[in-house]
Amino acid sequence: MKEALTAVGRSLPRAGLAAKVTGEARYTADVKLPGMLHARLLRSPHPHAEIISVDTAAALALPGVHAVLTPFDPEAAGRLAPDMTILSKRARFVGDEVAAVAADDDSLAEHALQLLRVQYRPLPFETDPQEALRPEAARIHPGGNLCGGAPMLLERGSVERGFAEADLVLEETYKVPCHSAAALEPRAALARWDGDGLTLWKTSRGVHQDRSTLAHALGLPIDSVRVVAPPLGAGFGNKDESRGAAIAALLSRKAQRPVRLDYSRHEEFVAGRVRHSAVIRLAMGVKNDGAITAIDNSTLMNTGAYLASGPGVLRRAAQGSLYLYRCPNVRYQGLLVYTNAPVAGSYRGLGAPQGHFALEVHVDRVAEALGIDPLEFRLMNHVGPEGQEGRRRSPRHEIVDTQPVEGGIPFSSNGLRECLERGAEAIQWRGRPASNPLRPPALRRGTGVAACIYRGGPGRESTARVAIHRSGRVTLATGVIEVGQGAHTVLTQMTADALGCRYEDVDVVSGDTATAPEAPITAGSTATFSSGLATVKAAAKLRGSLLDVASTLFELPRDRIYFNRGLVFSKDRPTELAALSDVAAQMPRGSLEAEATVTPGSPDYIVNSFAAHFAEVEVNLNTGGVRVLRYVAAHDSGKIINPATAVNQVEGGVSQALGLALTEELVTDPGSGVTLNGSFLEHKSPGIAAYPHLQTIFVETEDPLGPFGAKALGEPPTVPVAAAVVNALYDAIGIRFAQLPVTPDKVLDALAEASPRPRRDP
Amino acid sequence: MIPFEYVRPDSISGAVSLLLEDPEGTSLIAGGTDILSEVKDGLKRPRRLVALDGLAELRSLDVGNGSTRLGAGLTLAELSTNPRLERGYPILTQAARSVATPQVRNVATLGGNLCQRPRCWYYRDRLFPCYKKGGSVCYGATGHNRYLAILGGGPSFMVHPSDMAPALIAVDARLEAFGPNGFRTMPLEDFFDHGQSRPLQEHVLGSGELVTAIFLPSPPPDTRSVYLKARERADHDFALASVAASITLAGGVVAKANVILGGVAPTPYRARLAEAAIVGRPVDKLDLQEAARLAVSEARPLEFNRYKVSLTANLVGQALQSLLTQLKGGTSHADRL
Repeated sequence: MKEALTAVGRSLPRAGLAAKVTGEARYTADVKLPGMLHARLLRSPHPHAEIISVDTAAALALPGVHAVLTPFDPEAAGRLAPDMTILSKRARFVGDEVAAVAADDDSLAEHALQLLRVQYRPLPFETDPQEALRPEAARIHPGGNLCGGAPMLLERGSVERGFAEADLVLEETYKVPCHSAAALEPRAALARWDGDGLTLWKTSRGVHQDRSTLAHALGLPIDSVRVVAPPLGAGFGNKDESRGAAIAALLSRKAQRPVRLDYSRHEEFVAGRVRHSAVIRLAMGVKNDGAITAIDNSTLMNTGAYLASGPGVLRRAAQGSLYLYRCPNVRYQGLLVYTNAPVAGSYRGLGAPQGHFALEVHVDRVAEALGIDPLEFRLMNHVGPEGQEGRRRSPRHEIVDTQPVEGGIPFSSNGLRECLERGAEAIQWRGRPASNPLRPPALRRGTGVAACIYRGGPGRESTARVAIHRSGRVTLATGVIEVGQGAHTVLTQMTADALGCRYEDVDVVSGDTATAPEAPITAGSTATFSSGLATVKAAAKLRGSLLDVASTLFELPRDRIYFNRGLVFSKDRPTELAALSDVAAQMPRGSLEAEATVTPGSPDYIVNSFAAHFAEVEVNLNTGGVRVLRYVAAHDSGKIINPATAVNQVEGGVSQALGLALTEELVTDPGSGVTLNGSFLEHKSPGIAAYPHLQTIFVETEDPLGPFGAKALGEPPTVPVAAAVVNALYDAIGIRFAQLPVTPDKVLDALAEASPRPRRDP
Repeated sequence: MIPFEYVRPDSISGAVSLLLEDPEGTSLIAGGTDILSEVKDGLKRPRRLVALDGLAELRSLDVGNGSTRLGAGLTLAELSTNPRLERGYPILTQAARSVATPQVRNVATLGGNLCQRPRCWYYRDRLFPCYKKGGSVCYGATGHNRYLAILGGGPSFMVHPSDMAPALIAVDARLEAFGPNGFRTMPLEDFFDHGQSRPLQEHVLGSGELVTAIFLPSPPPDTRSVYLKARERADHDFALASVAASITLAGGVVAKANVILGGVAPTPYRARLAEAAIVGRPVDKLDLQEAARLAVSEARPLEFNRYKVSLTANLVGQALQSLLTQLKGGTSHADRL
């Protein structure tokens, strides 16, 4: 008998799933404390205004109202981010937080809001990022509307040279709208003070980061703030702000009672975090034989009223253009612009879905101009395991922890080619029928492909603690938050196999700064990889200590013993010596614990995930309606730790991005700055009826750097979707859409302009 | 939410008395899918909600030989699953099934569906004092008007959101209302009113009146009807445009045609020119394309809703084609959207 994987690679049920399905899970808004008050926020009706005064007398006079917080309270000036205080005397979008009230119940708080008398001085405002860059535009923050004061410039080789060498240069501008992640659970926070100590329950993607943000904003020592993250009703990366929690904390201190603040659905849409809208001008130069000589990408992104995670999003929008295709000459110029619109932040895939939409539709355009099949063009040009050509510029010993711009660094693993090949086979790309007129004759079908490269995996430094107790139960303490994606499940599986215990015997401690070790935020598809490495390292260390105990106990050399699925074996005997719990019972102290901290990644390799998606769509020429009939998503995310939760990630990501492709847009009225459709009904996230038949394929490259060979998966499924659908639309009706979402009005308008001509019809 | 009183009268007379006590401050609630969202969104602050869900008088469904009576309190779920109704008036079942989601249909009522307020984004946001809220401006006229009216617009360019209304008008439904002066009935078509006198409602009911029932005449032999609805999302969406059409043949000639458009005008819109183009003509000599073109020949699209003109024409053409196929005894694919 030998050591075998008993948990990793199995479709074990996602931890916490039953509680969520049965309604037993207690989310932040379900946490109730004795004497708790309810807070409501007064939001600006103006897109841009100075707040001259707030008269709180009438509100405070209402019986049952316990506290009011305004920007004129000195403590509200605490800084949450370089461009954001807890409350501000400047409102920067319709929905910006102006003041807050805590009262005995929600209706009373709402009533009190209406009694607040706010004097505003409306200011000129900007909702369009292009307009916001005019010299005479209204200034939204002191540093001007161009974030960072200069464009982000990333360059390899010389695009001028590349265009000069090209036989053909094609240029086009693509537009991606702002939309919302529309998580089922709206943001919430609950604050309680015990003397000078503050406990906050909040929707969070990283309790440690939230703790330091809040301690800083509230002027408290970090040790007096405890942040607890109850189960999350989905995060999608954007529950990363702490303004609501800071407001709840200040109200609570004023009222001397616990205070809960929860967002309404409308607030979640308008005052949550949205995806950055983008205008992307893309030029690509190619030789007649199909070789790409230059890619030039200029991206303009709207970050709304505050910066949030804008720079990271802008950087991600470059990723595809810089690295998906072999090309010696690339340039990315990114502009991130403040406007008086809802705040854009992190949303699953960051800027990559926007960037890949432009790139992957453009690649089809170029391939067609060269008379090359879109799949073949990708197979000719995609980046291989060796990476981009060129000389490495960064120091050799430095960990490659962002997507590089330079060439000369290979990938730790790269299964993109296999994704393309296996996906194509599944959708029957080669030999697919020409889009014959169907019955009824108003329907047309087409198939499209799009590829994806995504930097995930290595995040920041991560720590894990694994302990075994005398009972034989194992505790994994991790800072990584379970945002619904199954992180705790896969970490439990890794713990089981790295230690040799049973999966069922592992308990996870997380989501609480009082008990969990420091971890980076759950973001950028890094949890499995980075926290996984720390977990495996800690579990292996613990196994070493336990081997010592077992060696003494069984009087066998340490290297003749191993643990597997909660049993202790000698390498010289077919049957087990004992249960692991028997060894644990003999431990000298109550428990044995090991801690490990890792800096994930490598100085020698780029760790990236890859995917190729294929969509078959049907267009109704009468109504402009588009249905996605069949979808194949082929992913290289390394070894799959839990196939069932991994398939969930792909299905959820594809479904979510179908909204971006076909229906969703959060619209801000240019005339008034009011966001008009902040509701499930009008934001038009797709319902179950829109879901296609979806086949997921995992190309399981075993990554040499990842824990058990795993790489990132959380975000990549959203990245190529819009392009795959739009390319399929072109195949169906010969119209290449450059603006999302492709709603019926766009289809009908385009059909009216160009009479439909199925491209592959005879 | 501002507190309000909730009263459940035990008769329609009781409901009328309650309405008359404080007409300005009272709203009716049946399924609540519209009024509650108006209250939550801060568009309405009723002092009192008068609940109709306990009234047996509103809950009857009598499919008779001569005529059919549908109580205004029937839910859309009940309408979409009644087999006798489906046999007699499949168009109504089609329309009811196209509304929102099963959850909404379980509570939303027929009467409520006919009395819905506009779904226009400017109406639904309390920050805009728009015409339909008693203001003087239709923000949609120059704003985001992708979903707004191409026909009959002005001063408001709202579109009537009801799916049931066009379908019912297409089968010549009459509406029964009850008020301080007792019962009255009218063709359903006359119930809708976009007149300037009463911008706060889209119908002709007076103070203290409520919808009690819909009457349906039995369809003449050789009549077929169909409801087609185009929307952006496969479920849970209002119509970008919808068409309710019915055709009656007599001796190979179109004796009667109803072509009613939904989602394109402030009230359900009768496409008279399209009807005129087919009535009196032999069924094998119909120019459906011409009829479809005429259905929208009076359209005046706004900046962002030009697409609705071709969409509506396409739907009309498809609906008429579907009816002809049915009348010829074939099965039709054309009602698939």
